[in-house]
Amino acid sequence: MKYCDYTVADFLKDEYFVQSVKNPNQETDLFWESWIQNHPEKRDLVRQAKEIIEHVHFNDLSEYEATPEEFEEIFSKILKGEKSVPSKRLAMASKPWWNPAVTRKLAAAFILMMLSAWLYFYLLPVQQDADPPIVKQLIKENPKGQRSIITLTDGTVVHLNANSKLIVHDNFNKNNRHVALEGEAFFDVVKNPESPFTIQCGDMRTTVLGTSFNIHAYPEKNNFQVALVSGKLTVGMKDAGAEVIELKPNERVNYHKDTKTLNKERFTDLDFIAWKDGILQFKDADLSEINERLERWYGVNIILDGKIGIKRRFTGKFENKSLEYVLDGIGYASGFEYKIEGKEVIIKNFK
Amino acid sequence: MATTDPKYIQVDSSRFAKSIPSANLADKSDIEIWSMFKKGHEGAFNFIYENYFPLLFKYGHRFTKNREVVKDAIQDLFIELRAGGQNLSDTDSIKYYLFKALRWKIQQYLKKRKRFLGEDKLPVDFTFEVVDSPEISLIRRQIDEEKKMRLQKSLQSLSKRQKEAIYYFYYEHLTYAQVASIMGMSNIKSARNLIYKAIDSLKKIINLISLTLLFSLFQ
Repeated sequence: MKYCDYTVADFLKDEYFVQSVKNPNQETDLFWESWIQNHPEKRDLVRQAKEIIEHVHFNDLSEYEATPEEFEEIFSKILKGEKSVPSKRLAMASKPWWNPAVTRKLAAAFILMMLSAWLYFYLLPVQQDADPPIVKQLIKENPKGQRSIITLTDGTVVHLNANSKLIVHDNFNKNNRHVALEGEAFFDVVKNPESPFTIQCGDMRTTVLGTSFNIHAYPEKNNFQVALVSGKLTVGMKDAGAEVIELKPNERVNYHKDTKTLNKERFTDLDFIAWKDGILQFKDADLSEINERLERWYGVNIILDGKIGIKRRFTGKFENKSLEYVLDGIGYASGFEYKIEGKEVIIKNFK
Repeated sequence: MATTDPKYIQVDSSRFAKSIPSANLADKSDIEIWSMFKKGHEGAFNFIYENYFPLLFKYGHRFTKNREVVKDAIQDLFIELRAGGQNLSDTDSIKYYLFKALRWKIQQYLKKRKRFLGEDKLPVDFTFEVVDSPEISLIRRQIDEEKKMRLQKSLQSLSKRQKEAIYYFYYEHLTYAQVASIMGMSNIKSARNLIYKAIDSLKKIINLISLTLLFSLFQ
């Protein structure tokens, strides 16, 4: 049979194999199960090819999702058989520009443009917002349980943690490099002295030229943190003129939302950015911290069944491990047992 | 293959209003649904619209960021299909049929606009992302972050046409023949070559990943 000599790349090129992975049915399941039974030595190869196919996604253009209104609007237009209006507008393209109908419209458009320019400059002169105007944005949002790596158009690589949102303005890398973050991300910024890279998190603004650093800024939390691994960066507030703190490698700054103050400190270990390498690490963590982080990491809901008397704090490290593995580990150390039901984890004391 | 991943049907149409009566055709094949649609069966049209509109809406935006162009194209496409009736050709994949028709339509519209507004090249957005889908994450995450990043970089460096072909082949699980037809290639071999070349240029990183996976099986 032809599949016997297949490499991983050959499987990836095979139409039947790809369809079996992406759109399986009884027939394909049966075929591959029996094929693997006859060729057990190929089991791993098939699994690898499958995993690679499953890991590749396209950006899902979530910002271009249709609204329910658009869904209804177009549906009713189709039923009425109304062809789109712009086809009229487009029909103008075939008319020469000196056609009176076209020139009249062009003149009107020109006057309107001048008028709005005048309105803009004379009537609205005092608005001085340091923020770039928000025209169009690209939003990448990870739900709980999902992390992703995003490459921006300037080459900057962003590791976006679970339950986090990165907003990239449409004119990114044209006249600025400005993004906004809710949640946690590790940035590896491509150096460009001409165009500083800024990240907005609520009121806090981080400005860099080309470095790698971690930002922890979940909106529901009271503390934001920016930690610098290499290069140089500054952290300040959105309002120009406010305090600005410059960081050197191995320094981090904590921003307290209540008091609006920034504190600088040094750090020695890189545990807190291990998340970007798929490492889940706890250091002297209590149950509420463990729960919060497991929920975010695995996209589950943790429910405490009864009073859980865990006094002991937990320290440990898990690299690319399943939820069961992690719960086994912590449960054993802390004396609880658990049950997983779909997306819910129920935790209770050992009997 | 053991598991199917419903996430790959990327668009959740349940978000949309259920006010439109739609025949329950979920157990019918595409050929049957399409032939009902051709005969003017309104339930079949509703079913197709409800199931494919959200997907087509996003698909259209891979060729232009202009929302109006996409909306107009979808609207006009369906009006023409409804008028076409029995003259339409048969298909065993409605998704493929609609992809091909919408792609062609948007290109026509963009060409006209280009003449009128002097707009430059047609943008095509088939950007990749290498992610841990929540489904994978709960079970095992075997491809580590560094390899994922390298895979992502290699994918990004493919040509636009390669990316588009990969999108159809791996993401929408269309066949080589359908890929060729959508992209206006005269024979299947061209589609094969496009994807073969893409995979070959990824060979280095693929080998690296399969080596790691192999190793992790013994841990």
